[in-house]
Amino acid sequence: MQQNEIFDINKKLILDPNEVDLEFLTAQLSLLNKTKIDFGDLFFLHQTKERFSLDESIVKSGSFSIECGVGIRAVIGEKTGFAYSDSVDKDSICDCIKAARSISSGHNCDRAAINIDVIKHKPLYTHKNPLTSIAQERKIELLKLLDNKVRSKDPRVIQVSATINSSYRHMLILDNDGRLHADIKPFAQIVVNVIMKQKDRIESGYTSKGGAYLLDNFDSETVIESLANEAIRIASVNLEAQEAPSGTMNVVLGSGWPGVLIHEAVGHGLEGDFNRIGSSLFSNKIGQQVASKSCTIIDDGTMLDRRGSQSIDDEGSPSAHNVLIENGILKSYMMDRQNALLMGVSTTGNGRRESYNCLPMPRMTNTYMQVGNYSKEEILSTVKKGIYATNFAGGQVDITSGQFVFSTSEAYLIENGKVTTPIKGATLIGNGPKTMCEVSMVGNDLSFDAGVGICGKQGQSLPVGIGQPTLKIDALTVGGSNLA
Amino acid sequence: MSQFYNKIQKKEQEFKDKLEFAIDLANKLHVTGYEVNIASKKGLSVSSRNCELENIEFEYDRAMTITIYNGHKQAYAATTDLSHQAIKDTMQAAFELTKYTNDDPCNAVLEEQYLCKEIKDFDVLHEIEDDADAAVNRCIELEQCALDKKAKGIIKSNGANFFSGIYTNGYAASNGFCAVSSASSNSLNLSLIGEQNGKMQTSGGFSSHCNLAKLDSTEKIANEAICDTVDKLDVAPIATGAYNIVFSKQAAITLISNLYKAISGSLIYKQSSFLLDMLDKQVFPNFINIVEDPFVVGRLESSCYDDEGCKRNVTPLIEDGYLRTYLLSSYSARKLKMQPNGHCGGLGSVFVKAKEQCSFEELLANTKRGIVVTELMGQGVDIVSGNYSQGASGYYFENGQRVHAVDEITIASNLKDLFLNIQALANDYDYRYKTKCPSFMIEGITVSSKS
Repeated sequence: MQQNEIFDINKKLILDPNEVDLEFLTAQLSLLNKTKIDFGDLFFLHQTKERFSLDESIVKSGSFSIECGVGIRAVIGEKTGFAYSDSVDKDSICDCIKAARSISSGHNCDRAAINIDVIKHKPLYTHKNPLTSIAQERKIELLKLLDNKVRSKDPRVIQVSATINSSYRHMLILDNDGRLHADIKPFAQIVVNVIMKQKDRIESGYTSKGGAYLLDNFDSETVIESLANEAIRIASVNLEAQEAPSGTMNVVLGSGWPGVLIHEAVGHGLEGDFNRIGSSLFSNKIGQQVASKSCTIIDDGTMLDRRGSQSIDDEGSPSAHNVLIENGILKSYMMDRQNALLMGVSTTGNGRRESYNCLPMPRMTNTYMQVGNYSKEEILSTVKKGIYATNFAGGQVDITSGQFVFSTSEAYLIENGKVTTPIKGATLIGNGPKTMCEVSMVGNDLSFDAGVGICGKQGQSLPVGIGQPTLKIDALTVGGSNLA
Repeated sequence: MSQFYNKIQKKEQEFKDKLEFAIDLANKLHVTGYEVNIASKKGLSVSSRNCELENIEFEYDRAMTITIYNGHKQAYAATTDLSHQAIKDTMQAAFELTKYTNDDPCNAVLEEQYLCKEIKDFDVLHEIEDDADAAVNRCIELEQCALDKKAKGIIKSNGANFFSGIYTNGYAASNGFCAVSSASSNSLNLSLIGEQNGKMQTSGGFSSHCNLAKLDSTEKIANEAICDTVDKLDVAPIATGAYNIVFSKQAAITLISNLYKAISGSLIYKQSSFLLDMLDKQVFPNFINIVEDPFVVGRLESSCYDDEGCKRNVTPLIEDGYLRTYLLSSYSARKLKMQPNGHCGGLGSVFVKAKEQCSFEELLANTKRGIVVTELMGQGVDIVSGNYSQGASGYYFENGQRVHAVDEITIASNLKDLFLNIQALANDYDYRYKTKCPSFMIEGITVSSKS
């Protein structure tokens, strides 16, 4: 049997304290395999989280949590039986196996005995513990430093709140063929929100930084300084913001975080489950044009240190660089094992789940648009009247109709090729493929989000990444209140 | 007493024992104060698609959260493992964290004088469905019922799901409060897909109730799903401009719910709400009253006490258009030098009422021309400034009659103006939601559209 360090750590943490050994698990697998199933797996998770939050210049609260459990599923065709337990002892595992396999009434007698093999994977991030990566006292100091910096920079600041979050996720996946996969993933995040007042007007500015790395990434004066500057800059811009325009117009989206466009307008619609079921407007469109020729869209779970990345997905499949749309043509959907099997394709390493108590689904990792040829200035100079949006508060999509929204948190008017007045937050709305066909210019400045993206689907929240270069959409509806 | 209630009683006793174990441990730590919260959900969740079983999930989640006050320093820790050892470790973890957090004189458990002394039963615990086959059949029957109607425009079912389960929660604190309670929850949902002119739309119907026997009939849920899906199909463009908007169904509730956020004590003391300093000032038109009633029988949100054991009351939020209260926990009350009013955690049932209300049809007829918004989309609501811009869909009407469906539009304004400019309320209450708010009309809102 092969062994590796990550497996050993997870075994000691999750299996050993419960006296669960590989021999017992082998016996459980044969129990799972006794019924006729296409596949099944045991998913063990152990996750610790810590958070310190500052508000009114003091660290008011700290929190710590441990989550540990096992989720067991049996899949036959489109059917899934699923049971989970927050105890990882032998009895609980037995009970879950029995409940999960009740999905199948058929028997499978001739299945050969199974040996458990530990599969080796190349990790994309450190397996060290972010919670202990810097001293507790230092976490407090960093929050206070951030608060101090923000308050000393601008007399209009009336409130600062900031948090430092870290989490440490250990998982073990054992599939019914005896393949055992292990992964350890760290998360670190720092967030600051500033409230500024000018005369009667109150506005906020929010910024953050995070990734699949340790907290020592924030342990620098430069990082804290830049977070403080950015939060103040955004709030200052919003204090000057005028009513946003309404109607359909040219929209230039900045690079990086505005990639929420890609996530909402096409990303969700390309998740395999919706396309197998036929509830997505991208169903049966492989090989067809679904975006302008300048659009190449990729989902890549293999990028180093990024929140959306994963050495293996939550079904044990290695992450991949998947081209979803190439020069406007739809190439592939994102798949988990069940949907891939049903559609006769391979999994793309997109089977993800929030925890042991929910089922995996096809989910995005880091989704972005490939670079184009234009400089940002060239793109802006072509717009007579429109808006330039550089920050967003999030978005939402109806994958059946294709209607999607995303709301600006920092945007400006463009007048005769020049970026002019800041405008108040406005929701942009469009239809996914129609909007992507309106993308007329793509910039050469691809960048990614700051590492705090969260995506929700059917109640499960997951860390994801987004990115894009500056790009121009010829016609998009801008939801401002100004009718002039 | 039936086997079902016996089982629940046993579970509640088990939770009381765990709370007492934690209390004993906490007392030995000699800290200023502590809170222990225990929560669990146990149930069965099933789904069907194309009238066949899709997923069966056996759900059972438990968690304990321990908050420690060491002087005025506060920290908390949570665990999904409820063994004695895990409770010990969790308490120790919370205690350790208080060594690093700062003194905040407002950090404390609720003062005894505000504790709820009398606990009433709101008839929220009933036997649930625990047979997987029966549960699956409910889903399949619902899908079948909808598809059998062969409604024009409906092309397929997007699946049905059913949940039936029990929530058991307990809370104890160093102020002497200790309570454990259970409630049942059942829901049945159907989603359908319709198509017209090559464009698909989806919508659905649902029913939820703590009493399984009181779930709506499959017929009623199927009809709702069909009507709402078909209603979205005949989309035609409208021009950008100012329209009278009738907020209906979930859209009305979503819009009113922004009030709760804006008057929550935590945002008020942080000066992060557009309703800052608006207490006893006019926020809605004079004819509007909004009252919270946490004592409605048969509602899951009903309870005599909030998440820190504070006594809840029937509370007028808006009286003749004037804001009468902030929603305060003990912490935000101390911050604002006010009294806590039972709002640590969620609200009870909220009733939005007007002096005069008409039928939905009359509301449309009186408005003559405009857009009925049934769904709102996206995050474009800024509670700090009140700036408002959301995606919307619904239908266009003229002379009080529906003309065609509308989607891909936005509506934009400021929440302050929207609240103040509500013109008239209908009487089409939907009692499935926590907020009981009928359709209402607001004049002249900017609508942005693709044409």
